[in-house]
Amino acid sequence: MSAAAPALRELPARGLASTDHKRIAINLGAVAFVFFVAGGVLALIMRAQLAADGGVVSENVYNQLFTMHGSTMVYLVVVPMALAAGLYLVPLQVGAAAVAAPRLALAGLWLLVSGGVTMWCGFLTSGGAAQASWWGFDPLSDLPHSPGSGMDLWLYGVVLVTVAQMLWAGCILGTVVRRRAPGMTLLRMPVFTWTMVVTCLMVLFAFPALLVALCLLWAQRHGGGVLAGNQGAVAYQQLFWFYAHPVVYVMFFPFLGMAAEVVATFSRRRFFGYPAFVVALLAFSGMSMTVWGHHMFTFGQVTNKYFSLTSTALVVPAGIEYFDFLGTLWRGAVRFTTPLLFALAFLVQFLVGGLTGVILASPPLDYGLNMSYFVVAHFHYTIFAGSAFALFAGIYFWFPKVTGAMLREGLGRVHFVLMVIGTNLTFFPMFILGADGMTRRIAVYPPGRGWQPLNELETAGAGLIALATMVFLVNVGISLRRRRPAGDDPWEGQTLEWATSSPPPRLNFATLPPIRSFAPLLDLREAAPAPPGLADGS
Amino acid sequence: MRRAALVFAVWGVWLGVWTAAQLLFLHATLPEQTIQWVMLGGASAAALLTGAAVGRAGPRHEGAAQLITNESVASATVAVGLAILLVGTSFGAFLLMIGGGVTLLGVTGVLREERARRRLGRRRTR
Repeated sequence: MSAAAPALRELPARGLASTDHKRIAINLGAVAFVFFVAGGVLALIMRAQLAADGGVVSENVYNQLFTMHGSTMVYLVVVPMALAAGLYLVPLQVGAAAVAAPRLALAGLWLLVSGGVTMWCGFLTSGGAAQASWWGFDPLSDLPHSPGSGMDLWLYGVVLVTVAQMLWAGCILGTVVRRRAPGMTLLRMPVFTWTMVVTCLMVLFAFPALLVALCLLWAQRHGGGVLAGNQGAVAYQQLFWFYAHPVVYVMFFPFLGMAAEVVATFSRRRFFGYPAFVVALLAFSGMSMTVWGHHMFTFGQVTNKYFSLTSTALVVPAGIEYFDFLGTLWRGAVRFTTPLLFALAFLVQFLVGGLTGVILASPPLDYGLNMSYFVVAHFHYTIFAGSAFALFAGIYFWFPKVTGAMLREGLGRVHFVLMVIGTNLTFFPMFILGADGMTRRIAVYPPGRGWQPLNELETAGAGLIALATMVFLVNVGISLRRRRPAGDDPWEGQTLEWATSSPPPRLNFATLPPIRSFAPLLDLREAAPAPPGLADGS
Repeated sequence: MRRAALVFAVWGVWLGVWTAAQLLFLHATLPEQTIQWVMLGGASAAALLTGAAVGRAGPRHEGAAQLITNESVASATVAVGLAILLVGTSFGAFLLMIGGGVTLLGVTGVLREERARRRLGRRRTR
């Protein structure tokens, strides 16, 4: 199909200015991974500080570390990784030859690079990097409280990165709307593509609130009077959280979609309850736009009843989605490969994050736990123990498609075990510390509270995560140097990306199979005549 | 195209429902908390408007490739130029000038790419 319409120049699309959606996504993933390592190093320094209960860095530097760690991971790593997966996979899954508006996607890549470098340049300024946390709350972030240019650089960086994310979301949504292959109706789109659709809806309709908040903050810093007084501070928080709660789901849905594809493929079954899953996704994403006020329960400035209701109601669509996962695994011919192990760990660990979220959705409980390490534990169980595990499931699953080479299964399992132990050692004790009253963002905690042993345990866990990441990098290095060819479809995949070569050509497909459901390759396998030995019953 | 518009419409209506639910809770303190329902209602309206725009757009390309350049240094240049321009608003006129220049260079490049694309498209249709 697409071979009949070649690109302008038949040169291999390489390099940093390629308009090939696959190359843009790979570059984007690589940039995000570099920032992941950088943000991880900041986390390790923080953990060293807390294990020793002070003495590693000053309180001033500690403030910079947690601000830049959070900002890096949210703005430069997880959201870009999620959208990079969409940029790579959505055109392939809907049978398109290219992403819509590829130049905008490319511009987004360079906005991300520029934004990230701008943000990190804060460390080079005399006052250091931003210190007002990844929220950048006013008045902590205004000129009297955050003098120097580090805060300005943070602000510009976040603006650039947010614009980039909106561009990618537009490109992905545009591809779904305008570039689907013949036969690819909305209810034949794969589960991962649907998760990207709702993700992009949230990016496009929630992220502008952050741009407004940052413009007001800039005006406040450079002229003053815009976010004045208590009302100004609350207005900033309203705008910020209107962005920042949906962003949690932007960092969740794509990874949920990855886990769904992995679970269906390795259960050798069609994804169970597909229509209910799609409806639940649409309901879930819409409701996730309505819960931002639960971050402000203790302020007395929002309608707690409403936000408690919406936050608790999220368990309904989430429950449907979990039920669909279990239904897919139930009676499936399950193959416990590395991608499936990571996907299963995602389901279990995210459940911990989700259920502790229900606790925080109750205002009386939140009054006691707000600003404590309990919240840090909850957040990291959703984003790291949850989404990062699903991301690794996705990487192990699609690496053969992207590179044409298989990752080593043995090293993958070592990576998995280290990650599970490291993650739970790092983040589970935070629940206990938080319930015991340890507040977040403190460089030194009071002696005599008995918090040091658990903090030491967490630091050991963080070390294991770093070790696991090194094992993963070694695996990638070995697998690329001593290649074990993957073939087009090493896992018996169900969606269209497995119908093309590995890696896919510039315009994705030479021919497309007929599309009669959301699992067209499974349809083909099921329609194929059984092997002779089975057909005659022998 | 119309079906894709439905996704936006359904989502926009769903946000509208939750905006209405919020108004029920807000009735006693409406003036102080206007921002709450304006943000959610605004997102709902924006989704509905986008749905209307998608519904009015032409037929979809159905996976067919369009003529595109394999590489676009100009697009990357525009992005970097805009970033320099933005940072320049706080860090001096010299950065503004550099950023402006780089952006202009990039925009010129994009226009050239676009002209070449159209020229080739016309040649193909002949």
